[in-house]
Amino acid sequence: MPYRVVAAAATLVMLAACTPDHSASARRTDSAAATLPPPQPAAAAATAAFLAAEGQPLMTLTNHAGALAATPDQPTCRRTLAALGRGPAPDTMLALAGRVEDQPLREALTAERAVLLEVLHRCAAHEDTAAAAARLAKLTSTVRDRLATLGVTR
Amino acid sequence: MRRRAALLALAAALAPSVITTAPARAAGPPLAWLALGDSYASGEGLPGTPEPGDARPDCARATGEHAAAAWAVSAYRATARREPRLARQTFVACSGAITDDVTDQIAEATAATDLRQWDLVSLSFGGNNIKFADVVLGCIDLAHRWNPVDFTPGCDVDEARLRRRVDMLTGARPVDRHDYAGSLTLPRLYDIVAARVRPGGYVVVTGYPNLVEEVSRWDPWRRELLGACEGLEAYDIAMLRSVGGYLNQQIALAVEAANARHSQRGVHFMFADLARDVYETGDAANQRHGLCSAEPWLNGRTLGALSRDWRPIKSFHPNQAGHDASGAFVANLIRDHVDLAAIPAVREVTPETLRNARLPGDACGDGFWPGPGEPVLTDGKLNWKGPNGETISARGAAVGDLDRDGVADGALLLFCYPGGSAYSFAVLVYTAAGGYAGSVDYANGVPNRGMFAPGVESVGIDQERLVVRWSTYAGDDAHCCPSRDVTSTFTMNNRGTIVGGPVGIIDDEETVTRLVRAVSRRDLSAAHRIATPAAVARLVDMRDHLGGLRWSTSSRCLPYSDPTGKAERECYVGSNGGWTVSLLLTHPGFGSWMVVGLRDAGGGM
Repeated sequence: MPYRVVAAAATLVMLAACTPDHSASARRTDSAAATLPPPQPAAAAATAAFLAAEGQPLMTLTNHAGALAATPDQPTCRRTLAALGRGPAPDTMLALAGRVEDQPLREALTAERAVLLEVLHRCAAHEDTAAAAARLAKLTSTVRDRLATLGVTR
Repeated sequence: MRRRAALLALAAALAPSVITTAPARAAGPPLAWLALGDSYASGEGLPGTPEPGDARPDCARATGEHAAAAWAVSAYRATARREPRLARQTFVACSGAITDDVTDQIAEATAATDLRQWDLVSLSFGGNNIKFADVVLGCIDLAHRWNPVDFTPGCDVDEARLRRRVDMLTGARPVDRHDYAGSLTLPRLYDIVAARVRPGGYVVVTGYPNLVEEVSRWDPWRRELLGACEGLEAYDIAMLRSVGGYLNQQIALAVEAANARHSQRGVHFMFADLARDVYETGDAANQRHGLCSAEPWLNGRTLGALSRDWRPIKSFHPNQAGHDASGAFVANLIRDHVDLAAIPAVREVTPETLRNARLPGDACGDGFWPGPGEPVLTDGKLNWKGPNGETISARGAAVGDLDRDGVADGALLLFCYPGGSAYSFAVLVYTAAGGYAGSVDYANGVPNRGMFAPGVESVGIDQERLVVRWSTYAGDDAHCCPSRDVTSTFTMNNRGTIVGGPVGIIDDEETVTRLVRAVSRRDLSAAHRIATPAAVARLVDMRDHLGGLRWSTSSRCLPYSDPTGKAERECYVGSNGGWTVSLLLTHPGFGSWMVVGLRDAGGGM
């Protein structure tokens, strides 16, 4: 399965990224460049309104994603599945994410959903979840930062 | 009221569109454009194709009438403004179409316009054969339940498999029906289309844009923080772009080959590389328009996006800017490479033109007309008399559409008198598209011609068939008086060749299917009624797949007299029980296959 090869490669890259050989200055450069664009005021207001109403399941999803990223073990996977199973299905979540007007948040939620599914898939298949969970943590952090920037209270 | 309006809109969306422009300043007969293709040609994803909330699948045609305009429409409009002779476009591209659907689209266009041939044809096909839409939607995981077994990260199909599908599309690899949609290869598709193009006409084949910008060109925040674009993972993008590039490359090669096959007949093929020449023309930000570029010309996921349009298939299709740019590119391609003025004029044949027709020098046989030049009739007669009293005159004419282009063709009955008591007749055919098209051997295969040539009573054109009624001798007729009435019927195939007489020619896909069924059930009488070259090629393609027919090269072809004398015979004989289908390959320049007859094991027609 090619994605496994890619995922393994990604893991190697991530492991390499944690080695002292990677200079702190290089990481600062990436981090500085990787700043989300400033929100459009109208989009921010519309996004906040949507997430407080129809988009509420997305907030639930991102909360579960944060918990799963922190502890990607079997019990947490089962609890996450059970909790999410009480809400909208994955394809509906994707559609809801598509209705978020702020583009960076829309894309971040979309990616967060995809990686959440990947962690759950690997968990159920008893595969290593570390790399996917690390990425999920990064995405969850991005989503939270954006929500804060947009003034959305969680 | 709203429901009625919605129904009317739906009916309009489902109907083929015939777009006309007023040929007020047109010098010469009008030219017609046929727009074929799949969703990338139909305009899927543009506003109003179909209305949001309409769950019924349809062709999603953006004809510029009830919805936005797809590229073929804007290209047509721009070209028509430049060339007033271009007066009509028939738009039958349909979302979801595979190559095999081309015959349905052509049939739909013919039903809507009565045209059988066009001067310009545009198309895009192939993406649905390799199931590219399913692949892309599979990459973004549309699971509808919280079952982790369904959550397969990334794309479900790897690059090697997709490349194999492209090879099936081009015919480089046998079709695996479990992994590929349809069976018609690009070469066969282009041959079918070529048969529907008038000599001098052009076919523009478009490739497909890359959906997503290269990951290395993404904004840093997207690349570093998200690693995804519109639900597609960064690690899948290179694969999708690589397959898209391979698909475009193979389409371009197939188009080049089609051009080589058909240019001899005056039908030209051109490839419009939308990926390189429209969507990604350089390195600057304003030259790149894939998803997650600064200025994307495609829809992202439209799964209930801001438009609240929930039709998933609208995702990953060009937006209006993409269609506009593609239309401008195709219009410029036509402007720069197609000499519309040089497309032969289609001039309706009238009785008057036949009575003043230019005749071929050998119209009455070799040596009859001494030259120089060609004989020309004036009001039905030739102002010439040979040293032995030879004369040539018209004895009848008929007009009607023979080549199914909606414009009248004609047949001229010529009386050839060499002096003395002998005489002969010739039946000459003239078409609106190409002038003199040849003569027919109305008496081919019929015995008992006697010492006098048979007398032709009349020529007529009825339902796209040339009917020659003539008389010959019954067993003990006196020389004065042949009493046996014979009718010979001829048709014109899609390559402009007159065919028929005692044998039949298959000329369309549907007829081949009917013929195969008739032969399979041993219904020779039904098979005999089916007689009329696109379908024949399909029959040849099908010969290895016809369950009951065993095909082999054979010298046992049925007797057949080629009226043009250009035939190269190559016989295949398929048999099923007692019935035999005989195939004859003719006209190497045209590459046309004809089924020339059927017989039972006893050898009778």
